Amino acid sequence: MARIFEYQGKQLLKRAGAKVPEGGVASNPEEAREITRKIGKGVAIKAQIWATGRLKAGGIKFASDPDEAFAMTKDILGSKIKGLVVKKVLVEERLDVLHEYYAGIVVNASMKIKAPVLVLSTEGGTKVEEVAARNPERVVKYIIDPIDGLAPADVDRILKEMGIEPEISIKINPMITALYTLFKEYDATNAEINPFVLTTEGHIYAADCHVSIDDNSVFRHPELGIKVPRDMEREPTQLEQLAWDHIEEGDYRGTGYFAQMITDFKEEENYVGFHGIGGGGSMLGAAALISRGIKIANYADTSGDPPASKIYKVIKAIFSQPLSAYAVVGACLANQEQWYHAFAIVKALREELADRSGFPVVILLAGNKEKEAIRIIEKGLKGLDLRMELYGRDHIYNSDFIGERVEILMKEYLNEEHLNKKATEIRMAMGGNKLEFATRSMKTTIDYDKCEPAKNNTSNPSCGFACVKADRLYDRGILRIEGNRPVLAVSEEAAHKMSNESLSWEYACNAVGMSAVAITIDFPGLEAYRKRLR
Amino acid sequence: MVQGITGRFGQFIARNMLDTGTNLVAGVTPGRGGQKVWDIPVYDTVKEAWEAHAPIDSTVILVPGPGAKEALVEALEVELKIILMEVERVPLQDALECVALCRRAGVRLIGPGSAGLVSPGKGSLGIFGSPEELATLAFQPGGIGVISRSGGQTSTLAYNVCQSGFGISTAINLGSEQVLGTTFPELLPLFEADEETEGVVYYGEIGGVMEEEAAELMTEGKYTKPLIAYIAGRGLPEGMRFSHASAIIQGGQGTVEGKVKALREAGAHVLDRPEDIGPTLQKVFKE
Repeated sequence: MARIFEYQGKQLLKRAGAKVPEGGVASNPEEAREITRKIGKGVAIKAQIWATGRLKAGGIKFASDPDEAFAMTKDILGSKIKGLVVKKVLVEERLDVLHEYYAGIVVNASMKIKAPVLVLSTEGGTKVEEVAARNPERVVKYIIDPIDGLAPADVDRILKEMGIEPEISIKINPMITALYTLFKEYDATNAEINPFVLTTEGHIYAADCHVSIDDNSVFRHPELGIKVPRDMEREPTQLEQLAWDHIEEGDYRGTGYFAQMITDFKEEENYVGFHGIGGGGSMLGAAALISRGIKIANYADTSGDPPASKIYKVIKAIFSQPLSAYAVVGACLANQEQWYHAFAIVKALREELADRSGFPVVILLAGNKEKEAIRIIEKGLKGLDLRMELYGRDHIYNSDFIGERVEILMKEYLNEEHLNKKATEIRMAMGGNKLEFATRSMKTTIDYDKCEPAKNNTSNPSCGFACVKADRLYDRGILRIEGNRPVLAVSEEAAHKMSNESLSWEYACNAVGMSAVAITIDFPGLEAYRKRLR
Repeated sequence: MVQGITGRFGQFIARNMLDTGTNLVAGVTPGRGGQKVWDIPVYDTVKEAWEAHAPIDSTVILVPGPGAKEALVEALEVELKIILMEVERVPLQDALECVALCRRAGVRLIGPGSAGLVSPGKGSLGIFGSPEELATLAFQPGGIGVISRSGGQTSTLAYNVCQSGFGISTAINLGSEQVLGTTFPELLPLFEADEETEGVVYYGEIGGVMEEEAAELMTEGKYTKPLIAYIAGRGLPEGMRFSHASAIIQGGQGTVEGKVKALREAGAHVLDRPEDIGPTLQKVFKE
């Protein structure tokens, strides 16, 4: 459920046929003054944040003229209300309210219902749950059939049952019908008008509007401008935005979920980068760490058979936070081949931890090709001075033990004096004699000056054409041998569409001590983000 | 039947189902009629497959995105008993309609987003029970039913059951979407009626009300066999979704504490730690 702002919700309501107060959105005081002038009467200035109870928290103010609107908007914009920074305000005409009502539609997953439920109350402005507990007679619930929908005649009948007089009911009906239209057409999981009001002039207006859009449906509504379709009580952080843009968006090859649990890192605290495998396994792992009092910087989850390049980018995002340990918890007997995780872990950790001697890394991997995956990690990270522990399926349900190991290794690490070492940058050697090509989300360079068979023109090199062998096993036919050197087995165009991306060639070449293959995976904006952090 | 059988994933699922002994008779992919996958004939439409092979009991829908609902509507044109929607990330309004359509038609829907179900030694729908490496570890026939909200945890639970010296009657993944065709409490009476099942192990997590509803059902005496359950997500904050669409605590509802309390009061063995599953199985079923 991605949330949208009140002003967006009201625009949708208006389009669906409901009455909303006259007004507009302002991002600076001057705009607020202009909107107020146009309205020509007293206005409400409402902070656009994802929170209820704004009035009490100082997020709603009332101005009687344009200059006052200017001053109040200046106060509200940029301030923090309920922990959220206000970037926009909604300026709208002040209504003379006679009565407040409530209307909401929410999906109910109960086995008895499995449908949207319309909730109406003759008392609005407060939480409907509170009203239902105190005065149940004021609240009516109606299950909407997902196929038949909600017709104006249904609404009429419900309002009549509530004892609402016909002359008011006829004005309320379009409001409720519009709410349902919005709910259905914009794939909402939840749409609420609290309150909608009857004014002294006898009109019905939506005075507020909260709408959440279903994550799985956000792609159908680009006009809503939802940046990261995901349940959050705050707006996405810059790093989450980068991760979404370059890992998840438009890429259905498995999941690469990344969300920050900490947005305000403190120097005196220590954080663990958390990486779960499998949805359930990730939850088990995160809970095990949290229950020991460990602060996890983020929640990440790679599952459903993502390619190694996607997993690699998730790890790069994790390491864009200040960390004192990294934990991979795959408390899940995965059906997918785990070697793709292994290749991604090896490449990312070689880049991130080459210079962080003693850094704690605890990895639990289980499932298909688990032994091979563990061997790849052991071999691939050889030479790095890490506090690394690797566990397999014997520890699949010992997440508590994994948490304990993370805690112990992190303590040891923090007791050492070794911090503040400069990070080295990994650069590719650029010679003229090389093969360069792109696959779906990465670039590969094979430097023939460093490639033994190419250099010595031998058909029986000591590396045994490790990169091509790895290709056959993990990438299935992108490389082949020609003239005693690895070349593309397919056209450049075809290679570009290849999306398996196991990262195996680089690993295999490094494993035989040659490092002729260099893979780069673009993650635009990440370096700049990290520089700003420092 | 498998709808969407000709894709890479479709072929993989079909292979798995054949390997578990499933009587897979037909595949459907529009425009691919006349082809074969593992010797199984492929048809352009569900109706054609039905006409050639009726009666067919069930179908697995692998068609992704907006096509998923259309595939289900097509499947409802014939007289199937079970539809398993493997597809994940089905838009919520589509999911609601699919659930309602199956309800009207009297067809059992598993999912959307269910990785599958398997009765070891008999057959499967979806991903579980194969390849052999995992089957020997996790899917030995026996008397324990497995129900899970997570796909990965279905095989992980089954693995733990088998490693503790027991076997599986049926293992099933409910799916992780917000609204599901079949929920945990709706399955319990089926396991109650199943003569081969001695008891059920369950993996649940934060969010929703299905654990609370299962507890209610047990209190009403509609499920009387032993239930061993673990609820994941203790200590995770409210208002944020974790991995699964349904795994979110909202307005104080859907907490681990609430679910554990309800299930314990209804007589379930609720584990404090997942690693306690082996000893608890021993205690409940051997002693």
